[in-house]
Amino acid sequence: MPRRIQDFGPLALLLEWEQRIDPAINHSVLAYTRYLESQDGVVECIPGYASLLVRVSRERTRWKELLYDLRVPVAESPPGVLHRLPVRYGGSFGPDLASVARHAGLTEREVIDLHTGQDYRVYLLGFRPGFGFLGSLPAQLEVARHGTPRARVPAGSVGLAGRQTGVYPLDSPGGWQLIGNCPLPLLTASGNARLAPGDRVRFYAIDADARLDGENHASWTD
Amino acid sequence: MDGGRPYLRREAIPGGGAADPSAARSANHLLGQAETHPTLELPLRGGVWHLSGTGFIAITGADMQWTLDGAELPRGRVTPVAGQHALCGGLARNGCRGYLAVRGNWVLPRVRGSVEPGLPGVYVATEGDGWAVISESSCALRSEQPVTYAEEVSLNCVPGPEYELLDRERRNMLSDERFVLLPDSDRQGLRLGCQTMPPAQRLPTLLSAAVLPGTVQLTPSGPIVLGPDAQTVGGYPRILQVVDTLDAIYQLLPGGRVRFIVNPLR
Repeated sequence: MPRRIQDFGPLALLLEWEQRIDPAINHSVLAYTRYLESQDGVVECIPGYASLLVRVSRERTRWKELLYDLRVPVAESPPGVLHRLPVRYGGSFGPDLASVARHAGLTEREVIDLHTGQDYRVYLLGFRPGFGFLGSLPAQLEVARHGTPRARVPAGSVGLAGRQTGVYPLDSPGGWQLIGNCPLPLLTASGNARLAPGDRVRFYAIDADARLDGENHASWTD
Repeated sequence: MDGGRPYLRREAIPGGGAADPSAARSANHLLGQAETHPTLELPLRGGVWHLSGTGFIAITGADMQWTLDGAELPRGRVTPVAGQHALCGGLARNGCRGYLAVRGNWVLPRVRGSVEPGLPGVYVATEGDGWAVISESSCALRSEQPVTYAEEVSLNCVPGPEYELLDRERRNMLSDERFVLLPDSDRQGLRLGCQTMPPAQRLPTLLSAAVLPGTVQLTPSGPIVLGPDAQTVGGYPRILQVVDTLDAIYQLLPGGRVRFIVNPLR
């Protein structure tokens, strides 16, 4: 449940939970998101890790009163979709894999095994259309961002930063450590984001010249 | 630019839309079309456009000394064209962004409801390339007074969620300072420089949380006023929220002055 409700300009309210990256907190944020999105007068909800911006069409102060009294039960939230994402690790696909491995005192193989060894939670979307902030990375893979971001990171690049990982949906500048590339588009042909907050992601390694297997690929057509 | 992609921020898709919606709107009103009909938004320089066919155009926004086949073309009026024409705009002299509207249906793909850049599948304008605009009807030859833009803009603001993290000295400076618009400003954000504000006090980095156009973030290199193509979440302290439209500041040329007027929120 949010600990604080703040004004955010004349037509929005910011709900803030305890400020840490925690699946239970994020789960509560998304339960509030789902509930509030369906209310008349709420024009848009923008969830963060542990916060939610609620944009309303009018009557901000009335909404503030309502939100103070609101208790959204968390248990009702449906589990998120599991996305299995193929990744071509290392080489030109993941130019930072070697330095990430060196920094962690691991072999490249061990980095890949750790990265593919667990499900990640999609905490929120942000940065660029369809970009999911995924967590939490195993502690051994925690790395700092590049001091100077790359001017162009190719679409599909799989990056690490802090205890987070993510896939760049489009070519863009970026400072994350790049360990591989996912050949499946994170935005559909009609511009919809594949990932949604609350979903789960599991990466699996494929060879550089691998054909995408039909089972996974089929669910990725628009 | 058209009406952009509002209400898709939870997919990290910015709202978009013209940086100066009032200029885009008036160009479209002159041509008798919807205010969010597509227009070309031209920052700093008008460029050279080859028009082929019969139709109506209107130009609003910055003064870019537009010419049609070498003859001066005033802003703020409907101009009929027929045949082959060269439409040329120079550097912005007053205002920063010109808007070129053409009457009719722009035959361009819409992705998530908009022709604007930012998603795969949209048309990317490249030199030497072109697209069709189709209209069966004509329109009245309306005109309006071209706008003159100020070189200093005052923005009414309310405190943002992290305003309280600023010490008293910096709060005062935020209101007293005349900031300078820096050249690396764009539709994502307007970067502001200042002479006297001391280096940013140590402010915490936040867990990524929502921002909106008009959110003023305080970064180590100074304040940024977020624009229509801003990212949807961020980690810098959100010190102010602009309550005015951003139309005027988006017509400010680099070097122009910006003042914040901080009011309590009612």
